[in-house]
Amino acid sequence: MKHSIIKKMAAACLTALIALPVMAQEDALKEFPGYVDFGALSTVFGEPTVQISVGESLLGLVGSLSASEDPEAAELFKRLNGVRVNVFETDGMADGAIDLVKDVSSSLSSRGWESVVTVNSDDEQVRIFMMIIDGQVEGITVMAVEETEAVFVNVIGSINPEELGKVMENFDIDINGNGDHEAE
Amino acid sequence: MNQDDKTLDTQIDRMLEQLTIEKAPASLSARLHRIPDEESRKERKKESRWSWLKLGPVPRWALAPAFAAVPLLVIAVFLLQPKEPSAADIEQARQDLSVAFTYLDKVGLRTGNEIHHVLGAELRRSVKGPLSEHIPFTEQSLKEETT
Amino acid sequence: MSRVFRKWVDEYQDQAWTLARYLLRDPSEAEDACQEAFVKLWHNQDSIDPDKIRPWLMKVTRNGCLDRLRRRHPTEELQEWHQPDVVPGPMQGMHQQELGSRLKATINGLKEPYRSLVVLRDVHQHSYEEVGAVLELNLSQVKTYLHRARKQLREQLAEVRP
Repeated sequence: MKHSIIKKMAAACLTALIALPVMAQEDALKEFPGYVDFGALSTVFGEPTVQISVGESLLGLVGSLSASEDPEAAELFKRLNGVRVNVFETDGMADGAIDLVKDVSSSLSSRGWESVVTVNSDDEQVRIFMMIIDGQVEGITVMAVEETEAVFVNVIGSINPEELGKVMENFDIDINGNGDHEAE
Repeated sequence: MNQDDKTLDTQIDRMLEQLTIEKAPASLSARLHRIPDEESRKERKKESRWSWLKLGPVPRWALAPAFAAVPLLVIAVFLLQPKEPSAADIEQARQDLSVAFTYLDKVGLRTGNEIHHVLGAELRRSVKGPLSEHIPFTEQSLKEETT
Repeated sequence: MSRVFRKWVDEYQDQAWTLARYLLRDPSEAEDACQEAFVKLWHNQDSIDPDKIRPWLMKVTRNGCLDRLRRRHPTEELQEWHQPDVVPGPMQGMHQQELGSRLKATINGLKEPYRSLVVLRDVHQHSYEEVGAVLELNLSQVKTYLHRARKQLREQLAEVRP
């Protein structure tokens, strides 16, 4: 009886300990000024269909591994602290997503984020914000809502947007399965 | 909204007003009222379980769980060390970044299309030029818009 | 401490029960969820502002219910609450009781957070601020989503009209 209790306690401790580094990574990103909390989105839309969070160490490793073929990526990733993406199906409830985007936008503006792009059309809404500190971009937040999905992207770190654009080309993949992406 | 819809709305509002809070069943009420006694008892049990720590000489068999905890501690320290990402982790990160950047590119493309639609092609070029210094449009999305 | 806690039980057990029943429908699961929430209240009572006990408790109850819903097997059959033995028919001419049952069943069918919104605002009569505190939404979100919840209710109830 005693041994089985100890076994159960050990299993619980191990599980908690294994989860600690993963939780710690997301928690660590919260310290940066360029971080945006998308937590409220799950309350409205449920679980995201795509959820990505790449932290500093993996970014550095990906960059250094591709340094010989893509020195710009290596340079960019060295200065990034995190890249996060949440994509939700809006289930035809794009209105709810649009209202949420407007609320998040007001909150970002009040926290010092600068709005660089606003697109309001019947079938889509786009907001792009940047956190600029001492002339340096420390975060980019992109929110885009269309009929079927809502996309939220948060890039954290010291960003040169022109560099980011060039690096994105080399990482392009076909997410829609249309076969229209460029080969690397 | 037509007249039928308005009638339905009024009916729904009246019905919502009449929805009442249901009385909790007696079984639940009894369980909830027992919480202070049960939780206090659990707390007292927990304290007495560890009270042997404060006693003097301890029988050897009682120290066995403590000895079992030592390897656990060693494992814990090992696990808490920053884990080196494996090749699979790095490849996964690379794929995740590809997906992230593709979504960024999609948004950039849509934003570019909207500017094109609203301002017209000529004006768009002169606006988007300086904008692209700050927005991650890619060569690909720029090419697609001009074709 | 126990005296104050028991006073909270008397004051809020009905509301916690109603919310859990709307969310989980199964009465025994709803009882378990309510008990879990009150146990958490017992352990955290020193750190909660006494004026905020009700929204705190509703939030914990709701979160506990949503966790249970997520863990549920999709094939599990649940006992329906006040399931009327009524074949869907026109709203006009329905007796008050049938209408009430139909409305409850429709509320049960709403997605989150609309279901919680309707229960907290229309059944519990919480203020907008309290509803926002429970659901972690700001005031404008509460009002907008409540409007949408009512719209969904209207659309789903209107479907049964000829």
